[in-house]
Amino acid sequence: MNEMTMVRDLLKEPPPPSRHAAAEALNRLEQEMTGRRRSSLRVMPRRRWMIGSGLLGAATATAVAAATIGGGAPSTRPTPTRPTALSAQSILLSAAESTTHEAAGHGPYWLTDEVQGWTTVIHAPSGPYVLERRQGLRQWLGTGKRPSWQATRDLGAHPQRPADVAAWRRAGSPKRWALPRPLTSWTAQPSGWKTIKVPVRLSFPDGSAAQLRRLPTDPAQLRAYILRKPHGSEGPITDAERLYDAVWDLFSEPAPSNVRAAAYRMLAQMPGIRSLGSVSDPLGRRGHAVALPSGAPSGGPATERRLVVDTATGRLLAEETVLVRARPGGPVSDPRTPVDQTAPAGTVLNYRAWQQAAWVATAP
Amino acid sequence: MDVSHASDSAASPPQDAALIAESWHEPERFAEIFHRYYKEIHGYVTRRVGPDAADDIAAETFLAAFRQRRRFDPDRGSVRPWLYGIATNLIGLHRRAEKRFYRALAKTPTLNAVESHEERAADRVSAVSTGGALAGALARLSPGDRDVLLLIALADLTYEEVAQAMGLKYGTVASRLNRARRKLRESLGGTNPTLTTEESPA
Repeated sequence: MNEMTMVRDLLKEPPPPSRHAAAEALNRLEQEMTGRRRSSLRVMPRRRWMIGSGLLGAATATAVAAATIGGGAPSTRPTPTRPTALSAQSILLSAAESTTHEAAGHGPYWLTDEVQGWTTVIHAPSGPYVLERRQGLRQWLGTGKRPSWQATRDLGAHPQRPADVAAWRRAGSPKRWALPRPLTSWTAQPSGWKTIKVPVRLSFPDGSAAQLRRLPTDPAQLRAYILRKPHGSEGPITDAERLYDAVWDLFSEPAPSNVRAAAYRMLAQMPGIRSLGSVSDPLGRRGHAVALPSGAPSGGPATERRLVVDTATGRLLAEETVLVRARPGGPVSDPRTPVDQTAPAGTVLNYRAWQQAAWVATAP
Repeated sequence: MDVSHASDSAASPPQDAALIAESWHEPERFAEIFHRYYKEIHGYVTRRVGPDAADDIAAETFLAAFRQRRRFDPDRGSVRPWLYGIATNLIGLHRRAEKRFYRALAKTPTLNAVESHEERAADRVSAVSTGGALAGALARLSPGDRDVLLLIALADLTYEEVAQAMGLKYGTVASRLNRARRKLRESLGGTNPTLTTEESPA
């Protein structure tokens, strides 16, 4: 025994930090990182986003829930559009012009990094509130015969808006929630990365990066190409949906910049596309949003998909889906019904926020 | 690459420095540094000031690190010592909490390692009083000596890493450690005849 060992024994190994301490610390850091200084609890920025289809099998839970969230007008974007706000075409064409950045890095794995979020409504006896859950997702797509990997990390669940935070506090500030459908539980505590091998491929043609480089760079030809390509969705899908899904894929896969620019121009020509002006994305980054009308069965709830782009760099920052029209007759409050039947207008159903992508030499 | 255990290694993975660099323009990348190091920094802080003060100081460490991230220079060292240095400096701003912690330890010390069935009663008594003496001796070290000692004992930093963390010369680290150890031995010398000096830090 020497004094160093004795010191270590005296100052013994402590228990790990409490969930609350970790969540609070992360919350404070996130506020610092995004420049927001609001309440001490994690209050998500006003994002009303939704993710459409998952990229290559990533989880897109349809959040359970029902809610009549007490009172409250439907949530709106943080920044109202002024009359002189950029039009949808201006936004998209600016983004197209700025898209010059080519894929970074070197190596046989295409590493992508994004944050996904989705929401549910918790029915506490003291009142319902919207709960948003975030997950970090990384994928290493191997080219040639190499395997692909996926790593996910739970970033924790938190009440979404100030009114939700207040209702959550009245409910006793729980850190864990049991959801009836799908049967699962959410927690406020972030987790570590879990990595698995996955049978994932690039979306385009035969899954090779070389084919991505041969995609059409003319918007009309790109559109025709996408609509000819077999799509992986179950059930009927509109042309518009297929085009939007393809746009995300073109930005998350190593497509050349001129193909991405063509994708923006293709969107600019779609009927019904509208501008939402200057907004913040789910990670607090500034950008401009355009809304793409989704098809909706007449008489049913209507959702709208939105894209946030950075017009200065051409980056696609995020994609979201928002419930813009609730179910006629109002939301139902059965938590086992799908969320588009049960949430009020303005609810974000889910989103994907893009972080980065690069070629790397190694996979997990 | 086993991502879930990245923080277990004593040296920072090379990706850490890249993350800091990325966070200069994409601030949210810094969150990954938090995820890799929060638990161990919190553990170190708890062992230095106790559980009551640790939550806040650990959180402040990452806020301070984030604010200073542009000053991090990958050529001068790695991320893990840098974070420990920030945590240690913050502990230095909480001297009273630290002193309270040592006083509490001195009153009710328990040396876990000595609780074994083979210990004779006399040794056990001696171990208990040794713990009290040790806590007192730690509290009496100069802050600079104590910081160096505990970064090596608790955080397993090398001399070079301590030098980086605290902005010291290598020779200063060695001399402070030697002085700290000598003073501890002097404080304990009368109660524990088994003290040896053969251990050398990593």
